[in-house]
Amino acid sequence: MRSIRRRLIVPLLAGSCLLTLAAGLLLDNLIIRRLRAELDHALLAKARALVTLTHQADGAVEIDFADEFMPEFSARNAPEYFELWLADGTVLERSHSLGGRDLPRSPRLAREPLFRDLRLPDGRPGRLVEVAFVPQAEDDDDAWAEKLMDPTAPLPHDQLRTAVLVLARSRRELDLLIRSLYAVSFAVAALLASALGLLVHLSIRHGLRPLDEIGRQVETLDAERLDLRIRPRSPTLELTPVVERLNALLARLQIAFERERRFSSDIAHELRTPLAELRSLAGVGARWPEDREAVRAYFADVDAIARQMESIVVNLLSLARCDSGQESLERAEVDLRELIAETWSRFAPDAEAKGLTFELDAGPRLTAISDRGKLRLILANLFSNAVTYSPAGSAVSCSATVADGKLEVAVANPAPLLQPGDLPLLFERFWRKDSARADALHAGLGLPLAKAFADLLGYALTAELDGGRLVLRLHGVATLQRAGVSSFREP
Amino acid sequence: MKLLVIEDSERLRRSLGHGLRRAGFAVDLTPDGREGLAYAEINDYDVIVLDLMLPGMDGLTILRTLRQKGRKTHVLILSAKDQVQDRILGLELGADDYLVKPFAFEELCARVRALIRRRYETKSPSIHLGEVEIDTARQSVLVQGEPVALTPTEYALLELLALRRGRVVTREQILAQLYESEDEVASNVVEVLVCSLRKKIQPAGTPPVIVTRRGRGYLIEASSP
Repeated sequence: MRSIRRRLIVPLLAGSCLLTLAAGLLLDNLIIRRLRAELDHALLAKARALVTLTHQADGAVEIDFADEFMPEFSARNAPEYFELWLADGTVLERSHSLGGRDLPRSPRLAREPLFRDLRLPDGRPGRLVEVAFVPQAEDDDDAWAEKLMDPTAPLPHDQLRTAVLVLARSRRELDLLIRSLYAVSFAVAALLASALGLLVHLSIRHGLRPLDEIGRQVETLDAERLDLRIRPRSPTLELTPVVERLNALLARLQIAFERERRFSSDIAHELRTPLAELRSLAGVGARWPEDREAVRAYFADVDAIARQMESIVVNLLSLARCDSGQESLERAEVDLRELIAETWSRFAPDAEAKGLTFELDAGPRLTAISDRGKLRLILANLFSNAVTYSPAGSAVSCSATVADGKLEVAVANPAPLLQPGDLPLLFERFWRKDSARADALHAGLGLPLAKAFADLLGYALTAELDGGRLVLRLHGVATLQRAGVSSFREP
Repeated sequence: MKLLVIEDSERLRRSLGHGLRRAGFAVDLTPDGREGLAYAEINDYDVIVLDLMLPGMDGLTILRTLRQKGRKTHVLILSAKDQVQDRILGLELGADDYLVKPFAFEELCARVRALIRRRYETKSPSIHLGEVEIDTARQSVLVQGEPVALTPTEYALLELLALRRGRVVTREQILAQLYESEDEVASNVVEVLVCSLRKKIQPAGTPPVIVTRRGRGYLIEASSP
C-alpha cells in the first residue's frame, strides 16, 4: 500500500541531497578554478620577472640570472625550475635544479602563455608556463613592455630575436588543498543531507500527526460504536473538512443503523405477538380438546392471525420492492373523483358502524395521468388510517384538486391523541400511537407504505395538524412523467 | 388461586383466560393499563400476568406504581421484548418472573404455580395433610394412596386451604379467590363446596381435615393428621 509519509520523505530527501551535492560540487569547482588560476597567475608573474632579466645586445640574447637572488631554483628540497631557449632550440639558461635536464616545451611560438601539468624532474606533480617573447633590447622603449603583456602582439620572424621560457613549480600543495576541499565538501554535504533527512522526517511526522490521530480514532469505530465522533485534539485547516465530512457520514450511518436495528426489532416484535397468540391457542386447545366450542372459536382466531401476519409480510415485501426500485408503474388516465369514491366504498361499512360521516370535495372532471393501482393503495391506506383512528361519530373529509398541472388530494380526520411531535413519526415503519397497539389489524405499516408509493409516483405525502384534525396531503404533478420517476417501467 | 392478566392482544387474552380458568385459576382479564392497575390495587391477586406494551399505561409503570405503594403481589411479565436489558429492567423494577413471547402455555402455568408456591412459602409442589396428598403441579389428590376426582373448584378450595394451613380462611376470601365475580354465586356456595370436598377427601375414622370455625371461616390445621 502506498504511504503518504514515504511519498513525501523519498522525493524530499533525494531532492535535498542532490541539490546539496550539486551546490557543493559547484562551489568546489569554483574554488578549485580560482586556486588554479592563482597558481597560473603566480607562475606567469614569475615567468615575466625572468623575462625582464633577459635582454639582447649586439644580436646576442642573455639573462642576468643569479641563484642567490632566486634561491628557489637551486634549493635541494622542493625546488622550482626554469629553462630558457632561443626560438631555434638553443638553450640559453636553465636552473640548477634541473641538473642539466630539459623541461618540456611545445613546438609553437606564441606570446600567449601556455599552461599545463607535468611530472617534475624530482617526481612531484607540477605545473608549467611557457611563454615566447622578444628579449628587451637596450633601445627598447615602453612599447616592449606593452607587447610583452599583449598576447596578441605578433612575434618577429627572426627566430634569433625570439626566446622561449618555461617555468615549472610543484602543484602538490594545490592538489592537497583541492583534495582536502573535496573531503570537507563531501563531509559537509553528508552532514547536511543527514540533518535535512532528520528535519524532513521530523517535519513530516509532526505534520502528519493530526492524520495519524484521525486514523487511530477511525480504527476505534465499528458498527456498535457509531455514536463516537472524530475529534482531533488540534484541528488543522486542511483536515477539518475531512473530519466534518466523516462525522456527518458517521451521523448518517448511525441514524441508518439505528433505524435498521429498530426496524428489525419491530419486525420481530410484531411477529412475536401473533406467534404468541398462535402458541397460546395451540397450547390451550391441545390441553383441553374436549372444550369443543372454545376450540372451534380458536380456528377463527388462527385464521385472523394468519391474515394479520400475511398482511405484515405483504406490506413489508411491498416496502422492500419500493426501496429497491423493483415496483413497476403503469401510466393511465385516472378520474380522481371516481377513484376516491370507489376506494372509500370499501371503508364505508366500517365508517358507518363507527358513526363516521364522509365529505368529498372534488369537481366532476379531475383527471390525472398516474398509476391507478398505486394511487388506490395510497388512498386506501389514508382512509383506513382515518376510519381506524377517528373518534366515533366524527367526520372524515377528502378534497381533491387538479390545477396548473398540479394534483392535490387531502384526507382529514379528527386525531385528538396526536401531538405535533408525533407528525414526523407517522411515516416511520411500525410506529403507532400508544393506544393503537391494541389494534392487531394495524401494524404501523400503512402510512409508510403510502409514503413509499407516493415517492415512487413522484408525489409528496405530508402530514399536518389543523385544529385537532390530522390532514394527510398528497401532492405533485398531475401528469406522471416517464423521466420523473427513476424506476418507471412500461407495463 | 386468583390471577390478573393485563394483556392488550384480544386473542391472546381470550385464550389465556380460557386456559388459566380450565387450569383451576380464577382469572380477571383486562386489555388496558390503567384499568389493570386499578384491579391490582383493589383486589388481592396471587399473581399478576403483565404485558409491557399496553394502551393507557405501560406495564413497567404499572409495576413501579404497585411496588411504590407497597403491593407485594407476585408479577410475571409476559412480553415480546426479549432483550437482556428489557428483562433486567423488568426484574429490577420488582417483577418476580419474566416470560418472553411466544411461550408455551404449560410453561406459563408452571411459572404461575411456582410464584404461588413462593407466595405461600412452599417449595415442593406436594402438600401432605396426613392421609391426604396434594400434587399442585399435576393438580391431583390422593387419599390413602388412592386418587380422588375433584372438580376444578373443589381442587382450588383444597389447595387454597392447604397453602394457608394453620390460618383461618374466611368465606369472603374463599369467594374472592375462587370466583371472578362474587355477585354471580349463590349465598351458600362455600358451605356446599366445603361439604362436597369433605365427602371426597375425608378418610373414614380419622379427625377432620377441614375444620369449621363458626362465624370465622375454615382452616386446615398446621399439624394436620
